[in-house]
Amino acid sequence: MLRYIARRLIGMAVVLLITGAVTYVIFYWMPSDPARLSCGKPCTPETLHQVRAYMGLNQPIWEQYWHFLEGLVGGRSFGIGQAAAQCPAPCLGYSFHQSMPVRTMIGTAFPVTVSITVGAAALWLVFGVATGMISAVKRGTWWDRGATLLSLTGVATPTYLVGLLGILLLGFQWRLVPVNGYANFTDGIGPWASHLILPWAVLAFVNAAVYARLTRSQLLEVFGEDYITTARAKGLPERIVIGKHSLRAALTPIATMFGMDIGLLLGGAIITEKVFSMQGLGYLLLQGVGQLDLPVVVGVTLFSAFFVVAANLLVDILYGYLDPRVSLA
Amino acid sequence: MSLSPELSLRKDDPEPFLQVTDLAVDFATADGSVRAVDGLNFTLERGRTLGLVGESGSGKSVTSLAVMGLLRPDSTTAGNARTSGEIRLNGEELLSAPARRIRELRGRTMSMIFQDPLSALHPYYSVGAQIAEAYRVHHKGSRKAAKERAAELLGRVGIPRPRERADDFPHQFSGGMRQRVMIAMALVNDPELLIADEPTTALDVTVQAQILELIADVQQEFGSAAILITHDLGVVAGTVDDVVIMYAGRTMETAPVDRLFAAPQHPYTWGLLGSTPRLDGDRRKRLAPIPGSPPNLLEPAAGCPFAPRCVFTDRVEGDACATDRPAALPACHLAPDDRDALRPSSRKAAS
Amino acid sequence: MPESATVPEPAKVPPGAEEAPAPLSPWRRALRQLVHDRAALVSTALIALLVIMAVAAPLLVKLEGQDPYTYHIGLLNQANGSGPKGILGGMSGAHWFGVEPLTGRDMFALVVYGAQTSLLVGLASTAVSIIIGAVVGTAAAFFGGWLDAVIGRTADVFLAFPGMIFMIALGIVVPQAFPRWLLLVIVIGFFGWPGFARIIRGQALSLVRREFVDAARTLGAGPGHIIFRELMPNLMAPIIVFSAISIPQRIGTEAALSFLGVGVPAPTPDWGRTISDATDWVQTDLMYLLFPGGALFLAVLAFTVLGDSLRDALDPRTRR
Repeated sequence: MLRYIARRLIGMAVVLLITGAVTYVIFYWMPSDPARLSCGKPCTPETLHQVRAYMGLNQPIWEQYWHFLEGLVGGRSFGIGQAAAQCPAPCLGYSFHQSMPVRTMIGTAFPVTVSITVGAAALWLVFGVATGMISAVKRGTWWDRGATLLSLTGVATPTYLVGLLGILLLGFQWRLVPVNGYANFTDGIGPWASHLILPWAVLAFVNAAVYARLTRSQLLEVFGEDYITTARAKGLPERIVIGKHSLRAALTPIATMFGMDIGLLLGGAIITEKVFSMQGLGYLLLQGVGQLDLPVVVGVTLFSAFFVVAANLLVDILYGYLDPRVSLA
Repeated sequence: MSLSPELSLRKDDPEPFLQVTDLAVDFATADGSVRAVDGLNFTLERGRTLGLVGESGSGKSVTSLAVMGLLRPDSTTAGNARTSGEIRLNGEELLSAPARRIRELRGRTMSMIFQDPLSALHPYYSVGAQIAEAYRVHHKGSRKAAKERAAELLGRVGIPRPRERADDFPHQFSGGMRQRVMIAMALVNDPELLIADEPTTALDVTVQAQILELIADVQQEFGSAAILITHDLGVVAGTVDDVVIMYAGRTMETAPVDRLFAAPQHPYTWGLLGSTPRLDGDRRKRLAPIPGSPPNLLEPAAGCPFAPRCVFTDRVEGDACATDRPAALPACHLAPDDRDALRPSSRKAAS
Repeated sequence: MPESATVPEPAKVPPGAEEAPAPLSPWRRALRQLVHDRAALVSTALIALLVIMAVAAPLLVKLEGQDPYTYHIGLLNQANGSGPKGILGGMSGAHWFGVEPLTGRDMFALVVYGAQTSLLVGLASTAVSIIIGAVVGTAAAFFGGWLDAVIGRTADVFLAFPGMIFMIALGIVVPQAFPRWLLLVIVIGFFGWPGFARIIRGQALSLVRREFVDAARTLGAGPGHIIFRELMPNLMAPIIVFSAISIPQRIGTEAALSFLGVGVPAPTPDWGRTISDATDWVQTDLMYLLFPGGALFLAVLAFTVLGDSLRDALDPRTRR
């Protein structure tokens, strides 16, 4: 088990290294020159050269990446002397646009994304699985049809559309919740939650639809299994046959998807953040893209990749626990 | 529908332990309604074993599910069966009994051993937990007592180191050992009726005999009645008291096992016997499979369902085999004398 | 494949299959099931309508007498910040879906032309994924060994990759001269291959183990011959099912990227971007949001429902 985790951690590091390298190559070899963008006007060749050297862009690409990795471990600084910009370890790059380390920006943005993700995930898991269960158990009834219709609507409606309509109805029309912005958890749980209710509900609705469909189809498959007949043949009440034996068997793929989704969202709930004007990681990324602030783009991409890769590993380990037939070796 | 004399009741008999009367099961499918069991009758007494024999699709497994109440709409999430007729256990009618009552009986008074233990055991729970669960549904008592009971049963069915192996998962057992686990689970509440649905089909030939012996042993020990479902007359030979031969959901003939082997009455039974390998048979003799394939249940035959595959239809006057359903058992239009004349002797059965 | 030309055509049907009374072929059976599936019929009709809308967009718009590029400033109300005059977003006989705030462009034209972008990116990117996935997946199954391992790990990396974030990031480095729709097709298609490769590899693996592939191999057929002549026909069903399931997701991704401002740029009509533009007008001009939003919703819904039906009809595991 420990050996498995160790091996997977190494694999994870390799994946991240490759991701970083690919990101670097793509972003710093492309025609848009970050130095020219930061150079200002008029941009004389001398200034451009100075800016290049300051940003570390005068070195070959692999050397730049090496310095990036060094910075990740030991921190780095840009420029020399008094004017040098400090980027302490782990340095994910330095935004010359904002004059601050990317890590600092991520540090402010991440709690927002976490708040959105965790609340929404809890909601959609509960409602999605419950809806799917009702649908599967009452297959063919009006319950099933209603739930299927609702989940199809959720699957087919883009998050931002649900979000905009939510803002319109709950925010503007009925004035139930604040329409945008974010309050820190430290400002009190009330304001925090009230700002988050709408994003939670929107994200949960869209995702719950997917989970309801998955739960339903998984359960229907499990219902046909012999061991479900066995459970009934033992004299177990339906409540246990469905709630324990069936759900337990259907759970593995649901848990897998849940882990991956959380990993993906922690890397930036891009659309939700945009719709509700919340300054999380996704906002940071979009802002970086808009301002052509490459270090921010690269830093956020790598940070997101880390969560996805980590979620992948956790899901695989979880799989080993959930399915005794899978041996982690 | 009359029963063969050996299995029928006289009016003054006390109520039999299990009595199935005119059992019929229909399944609604996308292509139409399918009658999987059609007018089945049998009785079974305590301590006796009944063999239900037929090819796949003959309705024998559906019969066992019907007896266990596993086709009822309140206890299925997969099927859509309609059951009619009567199933009486200790005089109590089961088809019309409330769901609660059926649940009480299931696993305690009647229990079932399934064909493929790998798919019939839950892959995510340890075998000990699954057996203990079966015990705890019907018995008050501590978790520990149930666990103890599970280990005890695992030992009884011949699993070495039962206490440790109780924590293992089904996939960690061999096929034969898994079937022993299944048997232990079926026995955990001392059932009065034990139904074994093709209990050896999924197993290696070498293990089959051991499992059959084990089932016979525990049945003796527990004094329960048993139904053994199989497609293999060879399995029936040494294990059961009475046999019901089924084809296309209908009973072809019923007889005590000795009589069935000595003087089988139905051409279908002759075919089954001819296609069953026998240890004491002539080794040069080739097995003769029954020509043709089982009928399509979507289009039930008006007459004898076996007629299309039967080579003796020309011995019956007119086209009774194709048009008339045989009224009595054995369900065959051949005259008794003809049957005696045509019956292949077990020695020179097939050509 | 020159060597395959001299090879006798290996039997496609296992021996004995011809004698049996021909059962309904899987395709006929699936078709029969689909014809009786009302949801499948409705969604197919809806998709057909969308395709017609996209293909015949110029005609439809000409029928209305408008185009998606002309500004109609005169139809805007300066008093409320240049929203459309009249009710329901300025709907009228001349402008069936009203006009766009700020520009006064015809909404009907924008929605109809938007279908072009959505369908083009959705279908073409799926085609890209299928081509990559089919080649890579069958190669992995057929050659096995280290190639299979490398492909498997690469697919893992791709599946475990914040594709959306990468696509957004990519928007900034690719020169603006490069056509955006083509970039979207390539990028969405490229990130979508592992799903196809996985499914196709699994199917191909089970086919590779079947005798008729052995038979073809014994007869000296080259790997290319086996992959394209023997395996591909058997892979049609799973590929169709998975395509139908992934097309709506791709349409959604395209719209999302455009919504985020990194997709198709103005003035090319695009549902996602129009929805994004409508964000500031939800209170004053709801129609501005509802027309492109409704179109996108219906497109994704239709493809999703059809995907479900196709899976039920073609995937034997879900057939009950």
